[in-house]
Amino acid sequence: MNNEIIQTLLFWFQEKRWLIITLIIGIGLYWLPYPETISPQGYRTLILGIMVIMLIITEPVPLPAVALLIAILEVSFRISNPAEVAQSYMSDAVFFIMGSLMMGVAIVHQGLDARLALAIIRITGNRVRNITFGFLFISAILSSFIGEHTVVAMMLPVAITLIKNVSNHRDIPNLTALLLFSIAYGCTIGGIGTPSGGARNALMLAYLKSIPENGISLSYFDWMLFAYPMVIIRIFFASWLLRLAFVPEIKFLDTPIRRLKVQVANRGNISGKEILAIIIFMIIFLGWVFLNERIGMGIIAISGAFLYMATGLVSWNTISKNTNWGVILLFASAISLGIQMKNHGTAVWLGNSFIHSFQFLLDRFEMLPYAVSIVITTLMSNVISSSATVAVLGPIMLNMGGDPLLMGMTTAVASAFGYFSAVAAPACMIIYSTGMIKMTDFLRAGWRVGIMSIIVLLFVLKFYWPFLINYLEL
Amino acid sequence: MKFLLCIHNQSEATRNIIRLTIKVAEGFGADLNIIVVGREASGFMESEMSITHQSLSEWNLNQPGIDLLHWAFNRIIEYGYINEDPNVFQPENFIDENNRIRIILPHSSGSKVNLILRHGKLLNELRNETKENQYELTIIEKPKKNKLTHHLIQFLNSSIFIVPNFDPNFKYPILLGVNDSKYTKRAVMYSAIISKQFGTYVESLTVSKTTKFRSGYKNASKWADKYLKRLKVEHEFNLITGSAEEKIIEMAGDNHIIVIGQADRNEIRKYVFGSKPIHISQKANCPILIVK
Repeated sequence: MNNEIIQTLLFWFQEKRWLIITLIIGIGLYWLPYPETISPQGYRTLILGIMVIMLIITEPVPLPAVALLIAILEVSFRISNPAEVAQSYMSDAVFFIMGSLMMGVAIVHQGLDARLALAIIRITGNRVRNITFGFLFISAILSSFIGEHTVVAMMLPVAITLIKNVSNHRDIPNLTALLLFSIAYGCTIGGIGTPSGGARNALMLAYLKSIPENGISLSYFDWMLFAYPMVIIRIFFASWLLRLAFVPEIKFLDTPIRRLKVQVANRGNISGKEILAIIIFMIIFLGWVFLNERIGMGIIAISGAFLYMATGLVSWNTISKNTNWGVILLFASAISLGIQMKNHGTAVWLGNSFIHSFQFLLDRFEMLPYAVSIVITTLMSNVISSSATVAVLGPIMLNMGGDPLLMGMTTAVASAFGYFSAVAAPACMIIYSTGMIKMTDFLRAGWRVGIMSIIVLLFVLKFYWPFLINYLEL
Repeated sequence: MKFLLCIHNQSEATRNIIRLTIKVAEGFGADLNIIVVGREASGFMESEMSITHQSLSEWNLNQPGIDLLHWAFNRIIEYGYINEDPNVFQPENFIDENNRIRIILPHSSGSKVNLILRHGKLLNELRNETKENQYELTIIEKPKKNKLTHHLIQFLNSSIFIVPNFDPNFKYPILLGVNDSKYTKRAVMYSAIISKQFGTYVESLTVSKTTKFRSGYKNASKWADKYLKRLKVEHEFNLITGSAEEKIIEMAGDNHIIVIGQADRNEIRKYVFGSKPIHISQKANCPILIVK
C-alpha cells in the first residue's frame, strides 16, 4: 500500500476514532454478562444510551447520523421491533420542536429586527447602562417565547452596528463584550421561560410525561409558572453582574444611537406583513396557553408554521433551507431512547442504583439529588451543549431520587447555565464567532452569572417550587 | 507556485507572520493565499449560525471571518506585497464555493492574492484546502496543542512553515538539517532561496547518533555543499554526534529559521511515534519549515 493511501486511512481513523471506540465498547458490553437486576432489553438500552452519550460528546459523525444509529441499534439490539421504533420517533413533542424551529425561521425573515432596535433605543435613550439592560431584557423576554437563536439573529446586527459606529473612533473591548454578552446571556436566561423557549424544554416535558406509571403532564402555562420568576429575577442580577465584569469605556452612546436611528428609519414604517407576522405569533402563543391540553402544543406549533407559509410571509424554500432538521431528528431519537428506557426499566434501574449507592448521604441531605443534577448538568452543558445535555441526561436524572418533577425542572433549568464556554448555547457560540470577544471573556462574566443562577435556582427549588406543586396540586 | 497563509486574529504576532510570509513568497515568486478557518459549530447549532449570518448580511454587516480577511488584505497592501486600492475589497466580490468563501480581487492583485474563508475543524479544512488547491507551502502560527502540530505536519499535502514567533527586524540565519531523507534536497533548495531573500547565511547541520557517519549522510552533506556553493549562498557545515532533535533545537535557539526535510518514516510509525521534524517543531522556539 502506498503512503498516500495509508495517510488517507490514518486521517480517517484520526477523525473517526471515537466512532470506532464507541462501537467496540458497545459490542463488547453487548456480549458481556449483564446484572440480574435488569432485563436483557433494559441492559441493551443502557448500552445504547452509553454509546449515544459518547457519540454526542465527541461528534465523530454528524448528529443526524447518531439519530439514525439509535433507530438501527434499537432494532439490531432487539430492544424493540421496527414498527414500534418508527412510532416512537414521532410525537407531539417532536411536532412542537419542529413547529417552533420553523416559526423561528419565519419570524427572523420578517425584518422585525429594525423595529426591535428602534423600540429598544426609544425606551433606553443613549445611556450605555440602560441600553445594555434593554438588550438583555428584550433578549430574555423574546427568547423565552421564540427560541434563542431567533432572537440572537435579530439582535446581533443591532449590537454590531452600534459597536462599529463607536469602534471606528476608539478601542472599546469592554463595551463590545458588554453588549454582546447582554444579548447572549439574555437569550440563555430567557430560554427556560416557556416550553417554546428551547427544544430542551419540550424534550423535558416529553420525558416527564414518560415517567413510569404516573407520568407528569405540565401545560404551557404551568411551565411558565415554574420558570418565569427565575427569568425575571436573573435578568436584573445578570445585567448588574455583566456591568461589573465589563466596565464600559464610555457612558453614553450619542452619535452611534443617532446613526442607528437614521439607518433604521431608512427602512420605512412598519408594514402590513410585519403586523401580520406579529398577529400570527400572538395567536399561536394564546393557543399554547389556552388550547395545549386539548390539541397539544406540537399541533399548535406546526399550525403557526402553516399560517406563516399560507399567508405568504415565508416560503417553503426558506423554511426548508434554514430549519435544523438534523436536530429535530436527534431529539426524536432521544425521545425514542427515553421511551425504551422507560419501557424496559433502564431509567428506574439507573436511578435505583444511584439511590442504593448513596443512601447514607440521601438520608442526611434531602437536597443531594438536586445538587448532583445541578452540578452534572451545568458541567456537561458547558462541555457539549444545553440541548444535548438534556437529551442524554434527562431520563437518568428523573429517576435519581427526589421528586421527579423537581428533578426534571432542575435539570432543564440548569442546562441553561452554560455561561462558562462558547459551546453551551447557540447564542454564546454566535457571539464568540464574531471574533469580537475572547474565550476568557466567558469565564470573566460566566462565573458571576453562573454562581448567581445556581443560588437563585436553589432558592426557588427549596421555597417556591414546593409551594407551586401544592398550589397546582401536581 | 502557491503559498497558503492561515491566520486566526489581528494580533502583532499575526502581523509579523504576514510580513514573514510576504518575504518568503517574494523570494519564491509565489502567489499568496490567505485563509481564515472559522470555528466549527456543533451540529446542534449549524442552522442557527447560518440564520445569523443571513441576518447580518441584511444589515450590510460581514459574517465572522470576513473582517479578519479584510484586515489581512490591508496589511499586505501596507507591507507592499501588492499595490492596490484597499476599497477593492467589496462584499459583492464574495463567491460561495461549496463550504468555502473566496473573495475575488480585481486587477493584477486578483491573480496574485486570494482570500479564503472556511468553517470547520482547522485540520480538516486546511487538509481539504491544500488537497483541492495544490499549495506548495502552508504557513501557520504554532498551535498551542502539540497534537495539532503533529497532525498538521503529517496530514497536510504541502510543505509546512510553523512559526511560534518572528521578529521582522531581525536577520534570521537558516539552520538547515541535512540527512539521508529523500526530502533533504528540496530542503536545501528552500534554504538557499530563503537565505538569499533574508540576506543571511545557512548553517548546515548533519547529526549522527554514532561517531561513524552513514554514507547517505555524507553524500547528502556533500550535495548540499555543492548546491549552496553553486548558488553562491554563504554557508558553513557541521557534522555533529548526538541526538538530532536535541542538537537542532539547541543550536537554533530562538534566533534561527530551521529548514528540514520531512521524515521518510512509514506513515503509521509517524502517526504513533512521531518523527524528528515533528518533535523538533513541537519543541522549537523559532520558525521551522518542514519541506515535503
